[in-house]
Amino acid sequence: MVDIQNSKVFTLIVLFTGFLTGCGSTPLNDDYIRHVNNIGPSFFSTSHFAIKLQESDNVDIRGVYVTNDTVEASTIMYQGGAGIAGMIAQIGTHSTLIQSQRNDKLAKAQEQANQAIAPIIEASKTLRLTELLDPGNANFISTDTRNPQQVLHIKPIFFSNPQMNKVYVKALIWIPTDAVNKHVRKRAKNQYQNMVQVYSKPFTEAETELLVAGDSELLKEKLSSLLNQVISIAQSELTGQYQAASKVEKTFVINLNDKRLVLRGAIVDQSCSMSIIQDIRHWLIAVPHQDIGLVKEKLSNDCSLALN
Amino acid sequence: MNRIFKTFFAAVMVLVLAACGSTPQPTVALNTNILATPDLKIGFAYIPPKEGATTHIYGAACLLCYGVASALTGKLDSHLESSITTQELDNIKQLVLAEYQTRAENVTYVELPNPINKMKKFKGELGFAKRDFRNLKTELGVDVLVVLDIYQHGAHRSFSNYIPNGDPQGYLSGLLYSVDLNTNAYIQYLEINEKIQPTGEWDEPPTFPNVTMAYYQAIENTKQKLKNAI
Repeated sequence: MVDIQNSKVFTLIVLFTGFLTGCGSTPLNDDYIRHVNNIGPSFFSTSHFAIKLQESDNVDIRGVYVTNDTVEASTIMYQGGAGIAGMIAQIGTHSTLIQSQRNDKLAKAQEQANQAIAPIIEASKTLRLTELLDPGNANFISTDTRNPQQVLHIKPIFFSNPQMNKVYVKALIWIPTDAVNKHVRKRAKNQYQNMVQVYSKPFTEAETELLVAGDSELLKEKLSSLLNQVISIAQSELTGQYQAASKVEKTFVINLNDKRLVLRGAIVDQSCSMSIIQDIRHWLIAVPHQDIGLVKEKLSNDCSLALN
Repeated sequence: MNRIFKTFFAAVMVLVLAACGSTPQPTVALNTNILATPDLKIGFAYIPPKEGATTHIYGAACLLCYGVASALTGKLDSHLESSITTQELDNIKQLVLAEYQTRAENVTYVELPNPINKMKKFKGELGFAKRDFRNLKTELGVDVLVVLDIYQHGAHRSFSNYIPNGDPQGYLSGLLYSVDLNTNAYIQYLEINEKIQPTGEWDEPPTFPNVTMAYYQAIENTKQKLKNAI
């Protein structure tokens, strides 16, 4: 008798777990991508590296918001006499309710964050993504002249903190497996996909004032610098230049204006002004040295001179 | 007989509700004047968590709900248990010791002779420890006892019965407090309850990189909080 009861409980747990696995998933964030690499360490030779920007030429810039979508516990009295099917229906309704609350919470947080950087969003409306590319960037292809499987696709999303004195870009990058796939989130269809993030240096007070006043030329300069660094980092990654780096995992604390962001990973490259960290998600994140507490004495003499 | 039972039941309920309604101890900012006392001896005790890093489930109120919740987080538990060591907790312990050493010259590790929950109760108002630590003054030879008690670490996931209210979050909870062993008064009381939402999707077995990163963020936030508080 006890065995029968145990097996019923076990069956219910298995049934509910399978059912709820879908219900408990994270709401869709379009600024997130999981690393996939089915192409090996060096897909492109340097001379064959080609990029294509997302189809829309608009600049997508958003306010930074806290992505905590956990909602308060809600109490629902399940009707016991409804049987297993009724029980599952009630749990399904409860789950839909909670999922909807989680999505609403995220949407409201994003809306508020965007309101805080309204001048920058307004200024960005006059910009086009293709204008942000370095004029001499021969890697950019504007038409589908090459096989899409031989081109790195890039979708940059820019973010600004509420103080509007620091911006960063999250660029989703991918190489499709077949010509028809244009949906970055269909993981199996991409041979390669990853994220490249680049943080700007903090702006000066004068620069911030100009941005708040809606100076689109200055905004273009700042965003352009970020986007071109994304391309450079993606090129290094896909031509195998980060393979040789010693990848000793440690914790990096990035000092942003109002918070400390933790990255767990390893430095794979350094320039005079930036460190490039490959984190445990394999994302490549470029951060100004001063934001991770690297002092110029630890850099080469040339860089020390450049920073002075 | 029935009346006696009702009276007894009512009395028990009043006692239970009186306990539920007691005011929790608020944060006590560190009293630096006491630490400035010349020749003050400070003992520092560290109480590690009773279990390793795992997912801590809250709100799954029935047995079946808990079974379902555990099944939903089973793979994450395995990852946390196998990959998160006590290294970062040791770093937090060292940080607290180092920060107190900047405040006073004579700070040493001490081992508590008995578990705190076995110590005699102390009836004091808010601002006083619930257990009587005063005997430790002679037993340990210190004037102030600092306790860092880490309750839980790993991940935290909130449920409404069967349904998750959100993703598993990087998690660290505990308590830092210091007691003046002459008076049993707190000279510092700080709760640690750090929950960090992972960036993007959490359910990426077997390494769960976003939850892992959120755990390290919780650790660093706690370090910063402790550093600011001491």
